[in-house]
Amino acid sequence: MAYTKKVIEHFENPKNIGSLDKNSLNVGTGLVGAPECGDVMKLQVEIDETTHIIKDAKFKTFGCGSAIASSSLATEWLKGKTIDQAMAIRNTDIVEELSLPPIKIHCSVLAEDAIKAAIGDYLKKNEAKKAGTEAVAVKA
Amino acid sequence: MQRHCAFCSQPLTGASAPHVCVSCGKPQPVHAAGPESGAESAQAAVRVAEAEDYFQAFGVSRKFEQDRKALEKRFYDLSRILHPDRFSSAAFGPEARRLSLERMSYLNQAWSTLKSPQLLRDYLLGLEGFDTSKPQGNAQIPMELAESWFELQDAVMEEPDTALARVQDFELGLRKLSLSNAAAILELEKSHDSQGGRDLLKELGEKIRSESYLRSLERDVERLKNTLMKTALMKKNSNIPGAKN
Repeated sequence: MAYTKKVIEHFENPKNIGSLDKNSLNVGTGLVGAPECGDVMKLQVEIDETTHIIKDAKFKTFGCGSAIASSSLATEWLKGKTIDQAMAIRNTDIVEELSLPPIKIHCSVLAEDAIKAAIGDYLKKNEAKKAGTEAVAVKA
Repeated sequence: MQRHCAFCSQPLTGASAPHVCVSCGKPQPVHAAGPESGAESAQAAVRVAEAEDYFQAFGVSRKFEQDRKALEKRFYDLSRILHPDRFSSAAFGPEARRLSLERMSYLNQAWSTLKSPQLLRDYLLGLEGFDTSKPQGNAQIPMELAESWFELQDAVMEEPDTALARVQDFELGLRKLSLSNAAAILELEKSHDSQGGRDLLKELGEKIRSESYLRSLERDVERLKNTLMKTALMKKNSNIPGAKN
């Protein structure tokens, strides 16, 4: 099965590769691994503490083209979204956008897990500071 | 010697006893009950037909540890009773042949599963509702391992000079983890067999998933190592003066 055009686009010209300062309170880091293939993905978000809007998102993925494309797409989608909106992103949205074949669906699951882990990390870091974010975490 | 119907397990009586069951009317396979004969063998055949799982088919308890010699003997005993070759003569109708085929193929599946410790383990866990074959996302892998695997690959890209040594270290670490994981699996199996308990099975399921993650990492590390060694070799060759000649 050949990769679709959109996958190749993201693979050859990935968006938002790199990393943010993981020690910063405004940055949430999610690192996830795929049990079936050994792919690992790190996704980071920088969140504005007053508006709860994602200002920046970066990723680094060691894995196949679909895993790289899924995380690249995820970071593109994340920018400008609120925490709630980001938590609402489903792996099926990624599958649809990239036309992933069934055998590559786990790559999109990995990207969704990475988003959740990154935002979870941000919320955990800030829960002591902001009582209000707990409600967000529960809703998600 | 009293023999029993291979289908309904009722005692075979009357002059024509060895060939047709008076209870259910079905013709009996020749030497149906095998060399040992008797009620025990006939019941064993019925047990295969009515078994809800492979353990029941073999009449053993649902445990990880099995006496495989005894299982093998039972497999051959049951095969002698159930095998379709026994039903090839015209005396048996198509129904008897169909049943024989069905039971024999179930018995074959059961045997090939129970004789392998790995397959038996997955099968038993599956029966108890702990499916180890379907990984569901990130929640089921050891996080620390995924993190160090990420860091390793990061380091390999950033510092190619020390890459090979790092990869070999990581590989060694993986092997140690595999060994301790395998030991933990055996220990959990033993505890389950002696005392039962779903908590143990749950933990076992997690260890098995760790094991399969370890295996996929081992495969990936091997690949990474080979790539690095090839690159190192090419570099070395290109440094030899006059190598181009």
